[in-house]
Amino acid sequence: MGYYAIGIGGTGSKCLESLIHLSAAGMMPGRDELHVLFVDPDTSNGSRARVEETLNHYVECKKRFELGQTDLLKTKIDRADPPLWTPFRETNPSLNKFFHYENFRDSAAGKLFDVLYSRSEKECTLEEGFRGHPSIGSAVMAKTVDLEKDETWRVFREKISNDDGKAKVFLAASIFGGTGASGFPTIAQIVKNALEDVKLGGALLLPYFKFMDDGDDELKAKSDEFLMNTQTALQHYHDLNQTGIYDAVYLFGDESRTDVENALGGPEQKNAPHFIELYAALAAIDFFRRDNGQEQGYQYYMTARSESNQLKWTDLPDNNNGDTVRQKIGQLARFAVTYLSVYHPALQKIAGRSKEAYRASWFVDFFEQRNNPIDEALHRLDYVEKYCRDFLLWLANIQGNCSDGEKIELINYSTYAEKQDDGSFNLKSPESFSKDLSHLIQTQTEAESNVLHRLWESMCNSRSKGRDAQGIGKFLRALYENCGT
Amino acid sequence: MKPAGYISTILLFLVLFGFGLIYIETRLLEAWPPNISTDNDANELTIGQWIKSFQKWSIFCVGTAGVASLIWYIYAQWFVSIYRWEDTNKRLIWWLWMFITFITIVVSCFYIYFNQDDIILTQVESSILGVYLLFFLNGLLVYYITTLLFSPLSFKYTPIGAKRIRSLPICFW
Repeated sequence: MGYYAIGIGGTGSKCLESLIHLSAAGMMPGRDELHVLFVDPDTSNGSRARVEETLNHYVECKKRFELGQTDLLKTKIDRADPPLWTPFRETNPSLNKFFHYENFRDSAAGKLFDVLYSRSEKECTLEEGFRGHPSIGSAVMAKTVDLEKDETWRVFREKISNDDGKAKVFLAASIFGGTGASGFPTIAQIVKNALEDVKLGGALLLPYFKFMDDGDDELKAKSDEFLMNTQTALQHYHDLNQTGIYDAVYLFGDESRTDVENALGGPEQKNAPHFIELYAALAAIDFFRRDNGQEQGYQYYMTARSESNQLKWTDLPDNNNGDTVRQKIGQLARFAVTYLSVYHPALQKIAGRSKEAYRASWFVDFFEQRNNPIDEALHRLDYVEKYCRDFLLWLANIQGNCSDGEKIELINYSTYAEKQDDGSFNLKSPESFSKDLSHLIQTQTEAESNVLHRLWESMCNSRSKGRDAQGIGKFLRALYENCGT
Repeated sequence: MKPAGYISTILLFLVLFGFGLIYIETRLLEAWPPNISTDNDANELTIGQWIKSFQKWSIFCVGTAGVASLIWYIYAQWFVSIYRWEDTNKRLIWWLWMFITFITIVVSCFYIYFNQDDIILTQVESSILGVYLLFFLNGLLVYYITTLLFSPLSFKYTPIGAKRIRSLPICFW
């Protein structure tokens, strides 16, 4: 069975960002491959660029290390080639250019076009997205998503077809913007029409942020319009659902909306990760795990926080009262913190003075005695370092990117990161990471605390762990497992 | 193996290895006894007395090395916490305890030499060098082998040559 995830627009990409991190923590069911595709007209979107970079680091880590049967980077992720599909081929696209409006402006179709779209909608450039107008996006998507002629979609369709009707496709998008709201029903309809057997799931994100300043009268998404857009879209999706396109739809929102900078699109639109996207990723995992064929009729599930404006691990939906998510994210967080602050710097030191390798017994066990040359190993391990940084920044944002009234009790990011005046997060320098990991994850048990010096000792006694791992993968596997309970 | 197990093993090893060493040396000295005749007939020395005195000082040297090994283990296990690479450089401390063992034996030899009641070095001039060497061998070898095999996991490769020995499959602990 193959899993397919499509992130539509900036928010959809960010949901996939959370899904990538949950995959790294071993939360995906089984060991089946996850195929990922981003859909966005805004080819230089800052949020998606960050996600693509994270995905690249994940894929490179997975490719370079044989970790054996472990939760760490458990799922193989296959990126579409190219990972981003955009409906536009030309530069400076506009609705007029896209539909060749000049050729039919005086016909009846042209008049209808004038009724449906305002002048500014027709003329504004769309290379930074559909500007919060799903009516533009729907027209463009319906015309361009072609599962037979477009190369990206054709390959995507082929992969799904090869799964013999067992494929599960999950779409993630926001309902209140332009790209997500237009792509969510349109792409689903096109996929379902072409591949009837496929199971379709989707996460729709209701408003969970607002712009600090809606700005000028320029045509773009405005947070004042989010709720109205949402209401209209929900009515539309409700009518669509009568056709049974989706097998499962998950809806999420947050009434205390976080402030974000209002950027039209492009590299400047780099919205920080938010815990609602973690919910969306958990929804994808729930959908992939469920045997959708067994359920008769509509199933309604509900999850909510135990207290409004507060979020604890127990509020996160899994089959174990949030405990599984806490354990798995906690283990990966400890791995990332210790790797960045202790083991990567130690390897760099050893690379410069190999005669001192005896100082790190684990290095002798995993590197010297297994003939893994340090310089070559460090080159490969750079990707682990990069991925760990991505993960920790994401996690810090999940904890810290919330509105003033909200209280998130998941982790203590101050162990390794600091919040800037503008609300963004920076990782501290590794030597400034806290040596005390006992409060890294809130409500973690004492057994999960993994005092750093005990972890070092365990690493020095782990050479026989992970027999099915190979090469440096044995070292990473041992470190990850020692970071567990 | 847990630290308590390590310490018990170190004690057992010290007894077996240390006394084994002295036993072998005793047998060798009995097989090839040194010339212990002296000019002073009043203080005529039998080979049995000579060996007994040798054993007493050998036990002292082995004991000194044993105490040094145990102190190294306790220090490395409980008084050092590794949080960063900078915390790992303890080879100097390992050398220091070997040096302390060495100095203790040197002081003992001086004590023996100047103590007229003792019969080994004062009366058997021809054996002075050999006995000194055996004392140093007993002390330093016991310290080295014990720490080589039973240093705490975080410092298992700190003793010189430990990378070769501790990585052998037979060293499973």
